[in-house]
Amino acid sequence: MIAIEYFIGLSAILFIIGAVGVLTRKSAIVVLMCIELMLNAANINFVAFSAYSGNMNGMVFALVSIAIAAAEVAVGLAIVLNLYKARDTIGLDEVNLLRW
Amino acid sequence: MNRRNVLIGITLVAFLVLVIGSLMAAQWPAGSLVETDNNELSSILFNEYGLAVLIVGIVLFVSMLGGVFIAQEENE
Repeated sequence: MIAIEYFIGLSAILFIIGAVGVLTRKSAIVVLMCIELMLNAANINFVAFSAYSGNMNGMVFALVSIAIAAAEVAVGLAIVLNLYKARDTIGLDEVNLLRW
Repeated sequence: MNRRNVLIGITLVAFLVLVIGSLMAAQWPAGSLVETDNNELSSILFNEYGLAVLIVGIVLFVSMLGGVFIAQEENE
């Protein structure tokens, strides 16, 4: 039987990889993918705790979270597409119109 | 590699060490992996969280409309 610590460790490592990507990469697509990594880390925690406690609520929350992630990606990709049409780039350093 | 990325890397490695360290130090309850019952999952999903499922459906629909609206070609 796999102990729950391994699932939480995997989730922490996945979250860190996503956070590194969000904070360091310059491409909007890569940043979106890294946000998905962080969401999936949270989902692993939900499902692991749910499976170990025998309570199904965590799995339902994971399903809702997956649906919200799909909605976020749909809007995010549309924004990236529009950005490319407007600026001919998806580099986040070039998009500084709303930067304070 | 610029200075900002190095700072971000150091901060996140420290965060990872903190998380893994507290993970190893904590005493977790000795639970066992329960086999997932799909019937129970579907029952909870549609009975207890039926409203949430409907709201998620609306959110997905609105995000689809928003994505199409944002990405559509402009007519001259």
